[in-house]
Amino acid sequence: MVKCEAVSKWFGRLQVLQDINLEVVAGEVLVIIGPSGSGKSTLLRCINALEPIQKGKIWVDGESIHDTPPNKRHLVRRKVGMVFQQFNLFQNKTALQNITISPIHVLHLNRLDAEEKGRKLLEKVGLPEKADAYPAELSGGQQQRVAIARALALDPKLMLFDEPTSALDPEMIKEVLDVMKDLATTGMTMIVVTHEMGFAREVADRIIFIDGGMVIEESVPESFFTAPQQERTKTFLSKIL
Amino acid sequence: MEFILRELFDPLVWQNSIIGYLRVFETGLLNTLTISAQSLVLAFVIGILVGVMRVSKGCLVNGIARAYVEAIRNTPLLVQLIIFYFGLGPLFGNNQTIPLVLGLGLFTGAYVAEIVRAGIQSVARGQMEAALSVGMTNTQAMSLIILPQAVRRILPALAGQFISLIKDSSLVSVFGFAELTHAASRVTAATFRALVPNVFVAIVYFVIAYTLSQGVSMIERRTARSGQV
Repeated sequence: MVKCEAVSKWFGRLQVLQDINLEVVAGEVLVIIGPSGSGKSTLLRCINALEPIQKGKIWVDGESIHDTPPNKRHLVRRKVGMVFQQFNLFQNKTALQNITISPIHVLHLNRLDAEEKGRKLLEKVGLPEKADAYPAELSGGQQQRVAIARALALDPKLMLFDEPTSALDPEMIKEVLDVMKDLATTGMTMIVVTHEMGFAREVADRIIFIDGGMVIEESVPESFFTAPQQERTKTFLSKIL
Repeated sequence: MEFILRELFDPLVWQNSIIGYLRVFETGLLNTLTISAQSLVLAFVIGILVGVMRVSKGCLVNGIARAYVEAIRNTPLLVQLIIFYFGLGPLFGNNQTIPLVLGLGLFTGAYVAEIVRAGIQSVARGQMEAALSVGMTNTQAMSLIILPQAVRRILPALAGQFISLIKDSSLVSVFGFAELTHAASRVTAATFRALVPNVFVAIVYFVIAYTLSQGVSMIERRTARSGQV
């Protein structure tokens, strides 16, 4: 589903990704963890063509991201849903409109069909009664669940989560994680950047640890938490667990 | 001092220089509103276009927009109008209105462009990214997500600019365009009284401008919930 080959990226002279190799198969849940500034969010944004890469190759569902011209990138992004740390709901649209705007304008779905689908998605994330609320009227957890529904509205083949619970009150983290767990059980391919170790352990098929723009360690959750191989991973885990 | 007050409140003066010339003022008011509305539409279109160009990453597009804005903002409006009216006038045949509307519209457009640019930049970057992430093109993201939010935010500034435009339109009286200020000048010439006709015209400008700004405040309150117009 996703393949990264020797991906490198620089911000000015600072190298933020160094020769990242990564493969995610369909239906897999990959969790990326690592300290702040390690490049994990950047990697996600590169996969979604929100950031250009300077070296290497990225394919998503067989399509190459690295040589897609800027005016064709939106076509690739339609296959990929993304959930942001700060939710980024469209402030000028209601919850339902947030979900339907893209199917209507991007996929040219008729409005009634889009709304019906939108309501189903709202139900799926447990917010059927909030269809007509504006983002400013929703709690953080509710906003993030709407954001997940919005990302699902295009029937993406891949979902990217960029620290989806980091900006939430502790009480609201669970409601968002529950929605993500449900999604994982439906067989969605997911790449999740998170600091929620409980979630990683429970839901991930595979975990990679990134630091300094490099993949330091890669393993299944069980051995990742109980028997990390690299020194750097051990220090990181000892600080957060 | 005293004779000024006496003239200002003399019913006979008002009768002779205002009531007697109501038709002239009426035509003037109509022309002021027309040329302002025409220039406003032009300024709005130019402003949105150039404002979007100003946030573009393309150096050439951005450069052209910037050059236009700086050229307009750093030269006097009256000089610009003279250039359009007398300098470029032959281009428009004998039409008196087109060069003046063009002059006023391009002038206000430059200010609107800067307001629009600030508005776009004030909408959080995340909104753009989210729009792109759901498969929108840059143009769709701009027109469906960014601009509606930007316009709501800049509404007070825009209203101020458009009120300025109505007041600036008084300058076209210099070219004999029969708008409100010109009406006052005509009455002054006919009655040898400058104070009352111009105070009257000032009151009319005030009423228009004040009504507009109150109207915009009302729109602002009504759209507070969604943050868009």
